[in-house]
Amino acid sequence: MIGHPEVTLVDLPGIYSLSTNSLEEEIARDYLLESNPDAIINIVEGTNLERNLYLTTQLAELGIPMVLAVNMMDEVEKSGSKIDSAALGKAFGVPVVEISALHETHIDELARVAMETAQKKGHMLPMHRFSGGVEHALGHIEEVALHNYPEHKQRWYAVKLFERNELVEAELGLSKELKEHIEQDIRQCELEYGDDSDSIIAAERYDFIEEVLERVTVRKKAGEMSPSDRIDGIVTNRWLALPIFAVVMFVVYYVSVNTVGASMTEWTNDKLFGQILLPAISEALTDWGVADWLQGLLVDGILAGVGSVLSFLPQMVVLFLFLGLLEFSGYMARVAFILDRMFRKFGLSGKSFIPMLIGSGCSVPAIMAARTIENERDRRMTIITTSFIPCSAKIPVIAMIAGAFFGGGGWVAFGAYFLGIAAVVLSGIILKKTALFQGEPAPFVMELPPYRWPSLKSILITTWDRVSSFVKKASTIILLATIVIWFMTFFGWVDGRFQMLEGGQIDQSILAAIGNAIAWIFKPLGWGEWLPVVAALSGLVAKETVVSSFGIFYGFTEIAEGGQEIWSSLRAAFSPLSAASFLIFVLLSPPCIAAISSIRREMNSPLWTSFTIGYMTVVGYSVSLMVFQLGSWLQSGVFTFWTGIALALLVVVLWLIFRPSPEVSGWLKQDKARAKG
Amino acid sequence: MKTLKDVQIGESAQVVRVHGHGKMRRRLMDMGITKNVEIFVRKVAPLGDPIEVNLRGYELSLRKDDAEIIEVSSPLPSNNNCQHGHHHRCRGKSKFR
Repeated sequence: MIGHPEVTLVDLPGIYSLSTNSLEEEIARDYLLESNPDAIINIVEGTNLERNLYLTTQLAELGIPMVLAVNMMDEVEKSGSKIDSAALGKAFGVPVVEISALHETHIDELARVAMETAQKKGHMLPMHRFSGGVEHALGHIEEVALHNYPEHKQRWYAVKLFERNELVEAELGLSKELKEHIEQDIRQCELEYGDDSDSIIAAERYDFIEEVLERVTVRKKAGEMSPSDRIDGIVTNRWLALPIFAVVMFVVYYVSVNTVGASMTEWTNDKLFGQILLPAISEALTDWGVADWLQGLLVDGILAGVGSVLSFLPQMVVLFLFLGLLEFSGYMARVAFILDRMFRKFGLSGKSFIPMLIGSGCSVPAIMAARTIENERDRRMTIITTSFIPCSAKIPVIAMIAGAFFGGGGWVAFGAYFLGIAAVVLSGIILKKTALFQGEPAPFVMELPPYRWPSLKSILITTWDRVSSFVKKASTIILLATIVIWFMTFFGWVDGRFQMLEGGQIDQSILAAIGNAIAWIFKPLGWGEWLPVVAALSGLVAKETVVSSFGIFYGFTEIAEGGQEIWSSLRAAFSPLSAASFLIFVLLSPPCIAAISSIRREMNSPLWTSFTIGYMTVVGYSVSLMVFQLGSWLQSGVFTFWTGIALALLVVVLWLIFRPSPEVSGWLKQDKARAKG
Repeated sequence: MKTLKDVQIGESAQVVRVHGHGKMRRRLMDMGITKNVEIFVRKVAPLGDPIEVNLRGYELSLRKDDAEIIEVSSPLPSNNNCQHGHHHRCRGKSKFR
């Protein structure tokens, strides 16, 4: 903490409960239980005390000294409600500080009280009591099973044992007799209350809170609509919700992808790097007589790599500012509410719409935007499928193929987007049924927070956090990868001697050697030559590189965005069908390294990252193969071995899509049957 | 058995019991859906699912499938037109069991 180097402040994830329903809850609980903090600062919303204090009753049982910070006091006062903090603190046995994080009021006092509390090195004894029957059972459990444990820990364990928490039962290593003994207490209590033990505890916690709040708060008379309710009446209105959503998304897209984002990205890329920095640095290096290979490394390798990272930044900043605005204003939760029904069929969340939309600009910020999705399964599915949406760097490739083979038809571009959306939807349907996404369904039970004016400061802080973490962690990987690929493109064996290559010698590069070695793999796709293979591989740097790779080989140092100069050469190398297969592969195969490194960061698991890359490779390869082989069959009428493979693949894909979901016989049905019975 | 799914928009109901099991049930209880609490069904999403309810002074959204495991009793005699959920401080709950 600033000014107090001896104090370490740890910000834990925001949670509703300690019952480990979600990753956040698990992280917070494990930290509190295992690292013995000196004190807890429990920040609760003054505007929603009842739901917030539920966690407080659980925290109090941990035995760790606690300070209660009642936040949003400015809103509480504005709404005309009153909170008697002293009485609230007395009821819970903790000091209470009224704060407003937005206006930064009483934050110093909170810090002071928290430090005082921590320095006492005492233990928290929970003040809240449950009703007679439950207290009786808890007391008995403490007596028979926990009397050897320190007093301040007993309550936590007693409640957990009462709730039949298997983890805690195992941790305490209770004997079989003891467990049976406790079970009797629990059963008796359940009989008395006519409910299950865990429900009893939850209800008792809320009853205690209700009773306290009745005493310590004066609430504004209910019955009138708050401004937030009025806004919500319009924003999630049956008829207006979708049009309003469309307008909001259009603005976000237009500003972050089309206008500010695109022009600033272009400026960084073309002006700052292309026209100012690169020429200046090249010139300086030549003046200093730096060796050619070192110049190449610095300019084409490192600077180009840095440039490719930086060129995403403006778009990313703008996008994250918008996302922050949507999240903090409360609209993001409504997006999930409005679209949930449509997206959950594909294993996605309503919030997946935003990453998909952004993905049509650039997959890097799109993948990062997926972190607004709380549900881990939905988030993973979103990350896996987002880069199927053609990003703006794929447009030159689409334009090149469309121009050279299909008369520049706009339908090719339309088809590319359609293909991307179909890949997302079908992947969702297929993957949802696999074991990876099965199991107990994660609850979609989500708070819809009141609409608020978001504070500029918090939006700026989140934007800064997100952008800087990308730059720090991703740039190293991207830089390294660009250098490796640069090296493989510009070095090779000429007449048996390893050396740096002249322009036009790309066919002797290491990359070409690799392309030659693996070209046979792409034979069934209709383009099993080293050049298209190398071009497709070079798309890993950035997808538009596919076009310039062809350009370099055909002897052009600089070509137009759509590659007009090389159309005739391409027509000699590809048939329209193999060109289509090539384009499909480029569109569906794994994205550029920058996007892959974002996937790695967001998945935070080597296994899931490899799965994503592997899955996209399989999809790109299979779809291209089916299109080329089935297309050839239709054109020539000749049925080959590969036609058979393509048909078999098609059958497998259709089966994967239409097979019944194992989930149908699963959890939900059981629950409903039980509820009905 | 009447469940939260059967409650009409604009009406309230009192929770009798949360059925189901595991994380779903736990989550519903953590969010305040406990015995005797009164839930006001505010609206349904434009596509027909999920629903938005109000309880304990805040707004919660949940899917109809999940609402189906929440057993409720018929709406309380509506002697207030409150749309804000503070009416869950319900009559008829015994403090002394």
